[in-house]
Amino acid sequence: MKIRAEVPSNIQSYVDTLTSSEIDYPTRVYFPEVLRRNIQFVEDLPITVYLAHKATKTQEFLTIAKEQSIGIDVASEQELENALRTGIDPKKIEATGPKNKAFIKKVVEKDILISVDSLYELQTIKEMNVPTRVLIRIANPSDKEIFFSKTKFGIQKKHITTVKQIVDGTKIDVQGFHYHGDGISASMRGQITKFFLDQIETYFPKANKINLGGGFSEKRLRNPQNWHKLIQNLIEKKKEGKLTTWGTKPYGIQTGKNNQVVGSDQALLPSKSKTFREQLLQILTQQIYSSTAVRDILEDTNIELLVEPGHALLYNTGIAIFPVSHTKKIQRGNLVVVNGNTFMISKQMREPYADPELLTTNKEQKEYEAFIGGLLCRDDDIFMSRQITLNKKPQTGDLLVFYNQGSYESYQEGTPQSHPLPETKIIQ
Amino acid sequence: MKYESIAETVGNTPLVKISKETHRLDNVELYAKMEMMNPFGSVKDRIGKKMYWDNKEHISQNTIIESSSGNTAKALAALTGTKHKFKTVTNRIQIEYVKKLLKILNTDIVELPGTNECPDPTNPQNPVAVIEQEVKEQSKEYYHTNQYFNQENPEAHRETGKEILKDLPGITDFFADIGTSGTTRGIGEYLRENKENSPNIHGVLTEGGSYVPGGRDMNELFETGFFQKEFYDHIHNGTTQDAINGMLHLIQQEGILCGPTTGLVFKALRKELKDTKRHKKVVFIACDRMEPYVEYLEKHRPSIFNNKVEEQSLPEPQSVSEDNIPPNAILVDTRVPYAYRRSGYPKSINIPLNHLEELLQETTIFSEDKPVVLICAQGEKTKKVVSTLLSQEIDAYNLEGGTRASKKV
Repeated sequence: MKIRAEVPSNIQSYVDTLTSSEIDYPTRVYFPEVLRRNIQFVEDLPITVYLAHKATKTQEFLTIAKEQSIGIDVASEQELENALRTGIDPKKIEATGPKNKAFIKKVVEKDILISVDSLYELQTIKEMNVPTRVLIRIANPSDKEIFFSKTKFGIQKKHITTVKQIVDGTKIDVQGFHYHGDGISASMRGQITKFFLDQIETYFPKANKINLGGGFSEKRLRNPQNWHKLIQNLIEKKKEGKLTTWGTKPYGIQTGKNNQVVGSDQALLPSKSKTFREQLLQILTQQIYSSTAVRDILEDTNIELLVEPGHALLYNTGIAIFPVSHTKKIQRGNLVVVNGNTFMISKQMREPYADPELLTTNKEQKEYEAFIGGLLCRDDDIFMSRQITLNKKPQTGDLLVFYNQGSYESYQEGTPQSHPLPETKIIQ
Repeated sequence: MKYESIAETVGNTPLVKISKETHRLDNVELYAKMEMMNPFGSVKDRIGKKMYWDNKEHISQNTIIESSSGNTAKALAALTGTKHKFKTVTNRIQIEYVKKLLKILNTDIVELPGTNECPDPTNPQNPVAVIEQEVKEQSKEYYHTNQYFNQENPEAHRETGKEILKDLPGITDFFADIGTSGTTRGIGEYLRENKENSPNIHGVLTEGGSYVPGGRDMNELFETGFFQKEFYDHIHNGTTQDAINGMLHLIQQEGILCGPTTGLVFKALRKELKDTKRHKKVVFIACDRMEPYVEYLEKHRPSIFNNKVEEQSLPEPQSVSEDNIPPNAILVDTRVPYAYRRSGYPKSINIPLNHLEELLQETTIFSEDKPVVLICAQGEKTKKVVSTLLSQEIDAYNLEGGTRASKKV
């Protein structure tokens, strides 16, 4: 079964003109115009968008963010410096994530909005005795026990009164609250919005910001419904003892009680079919306080809703191209070995669920089933957790194009979020 | 109570007091003369009885002919029964319900191409002219009751005046719609002749450009033989929306299931009497029932039936700056309750916009006595409701720039 990516026409046009002789080394190609379009696609909504800097190291994308006047969410001193160097207005920068004293000092000095991750951060800011705008990141805003309430981030909601005690009478301006939960539903985001509105009314009546973080799903596939069929297919094959997947729990497929093969919810992630805009609209139309839409509350109160997308905003902004080195037979079937490795794609954050496109010079019309591997001397250097069906057998020098590789693409190439490399010491 | 015929049940209609909560007028006792409770549902039953029933033994012709597209035709059609045929010659009947009812009553309907309910003497094709021509040509066939000129029309209503005076000897003001003028003339004359302190006689017309079934504007009255402007102490005008608002007010708050001309009169008397200092006893004619006008309401107040409002027909909204809010205005903050709790506009009440729109579809919640200023966040969302209120003759304003531009919030 083929799983197609959803590809913008300008990217498809570019790929259609590629020939194998042009590229002989792993290459990433970025399309800033797609980011511009993604931003413009949601700019009419009453939601303030901050691009999560950690999702990209591509300078052109920051330039587009500046040009489109959206905000930037930085998670390290280095990201902050980069954003400032790009010319992003400090008023449009927010610092999130855990912060050490040096980072806190820098963001306070630059008058950056700070999402306070711990009482330690709050105390540190207080001691600096400088006017500072903050959001309070809450770990567990929902009454429901959800996965992300066990996060390492944020302050427990039972400590909001402590927050109040710390900031009262200081130069700290609590402007609102913040929560991030990967993949949580619009309904959950609506409930969290209500929780934050209640906290604002109770503790910080002048606060005017609610940050719902990132973690928005993407419409990754041209036909998301095909993903279900694929998973069923893989489960059946596994039951038959066929080795069509790689790894211990590919796509959540595992062996359960009585040696039965089952799939998990994670297997369904790629079947999400809502666009980023549709997800934002879903949040705005959530009914809270009996029958009031979130959108109406925002409009009537001048409270600002913030989001910090990474993947969703950088959706389809880049592709990764790998030249084929050779093919070989393995016990599981065929292996296509590419010139490159899995640290060069965003697999470390999220597998490229759609099949790559093969650009080949092979004239023979015969499908070829294979796994795709890299040149690393590691058995897990496998690009996708399943065998894929290519239109033809690849030949040396052919190209494999992976789509939707514009975010977190180089996560493992340098240090995440541009944190500096550790020092190295040799002790004799 | 036993009667020899349905015709005997015409008249002696109740005089019903309207509650203060409904009319909201200080120093006023208000009564509705329930002519809609006549057997065929209107004040015209009296002239049907007087012009036809009381004379029927002397009518040699086979067919009674009249120009009426409404209540007079209905009364005559019902009363003629098997004794005579009934034919109405009229301009196009605009109320489909009445047309169907007349057909059920076996009426011979001749519709002319005109759209005006009132005959126009300058047009040779006007209904009265056509009838006169037919009667002239076939005098043995047609008997013309001639409601526009038959003196028995106002004469029939003298009896109504007598009933009113008997029930309310202290009457100070009388209000009625001017149609053929027969009702106001007959009742007014009786009251003036028989009451020492003659009550004020108020006639109510439809404003030019408005359409109220059965109503007339001043220009349409020239054909009516009974109309004399100087007869009235006061003549008032009202619009389509006045008629509907007044009608709905009486229906929804007082259970008086009346038609739009009654609403027109009710609205006019409330305007006239709102600052009355002297105690007054006032009677108005509730002239017919609401049922035939459902179609009229569907067209002119579609919101009642959850139909799409024809926005083009709504007046332009008017705005007021914060510094120019009328001092006696009712301030309505239409933002969501959370926003109102957070920063409600000073001295305002909170009715969220969606609730306000629903309420306005169901009932009248503001009076025309006080201006209303609607407040939203940016001064935009309330504009549509302001237009709706203006169409209902409420002096409504939109607060310019809303709360975001306010210095008080």
